[in-house]
Amino acid sequence: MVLGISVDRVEDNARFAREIAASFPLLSDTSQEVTRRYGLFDPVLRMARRTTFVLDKEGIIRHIEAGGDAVDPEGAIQMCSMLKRKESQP
Amino acid sequence: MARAFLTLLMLGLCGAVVAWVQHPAEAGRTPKIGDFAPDFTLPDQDHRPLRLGDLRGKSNVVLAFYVKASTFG
Repeated sequence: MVLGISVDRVEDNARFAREIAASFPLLSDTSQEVTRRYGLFDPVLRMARRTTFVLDKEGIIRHIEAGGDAVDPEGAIQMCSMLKRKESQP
Repeated sequence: MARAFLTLLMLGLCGAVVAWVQHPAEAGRTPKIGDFAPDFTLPDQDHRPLRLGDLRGKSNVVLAFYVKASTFG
């Protein structure tokens, strides 16, 4: 499952979801609490730093891409494929 | 006098840019590979609350923090 998260308001994320025809949740962290807890709040821009985490089914982080690397989803896609292959093995 | 002022202004601007580029993110430590992802509950674009912990045992998750809605960020 894919989750997008930003400090934008619900209404802004709703518009964004329509723009990109998102089939996944876009979560609004308007209080910035979650972004800060993940150490990703940029105090100058007052927004999240672009970072992608891939979690396994236990909620453990198995892959991280940050900044420009997070723009291309290929790394995250490959990790998800690897996790699925591991799950299907006896 | 004007030249000295302009030089100081340019140095100040350069320092501000360097500080802006190098400033660290605020607060918590960014979790590492092998850590449990910190749990949270946040509203989605339809105002429905979603708790990350509820996905445990059900699905792998791609959690993508993005800079700003309706941008490439």
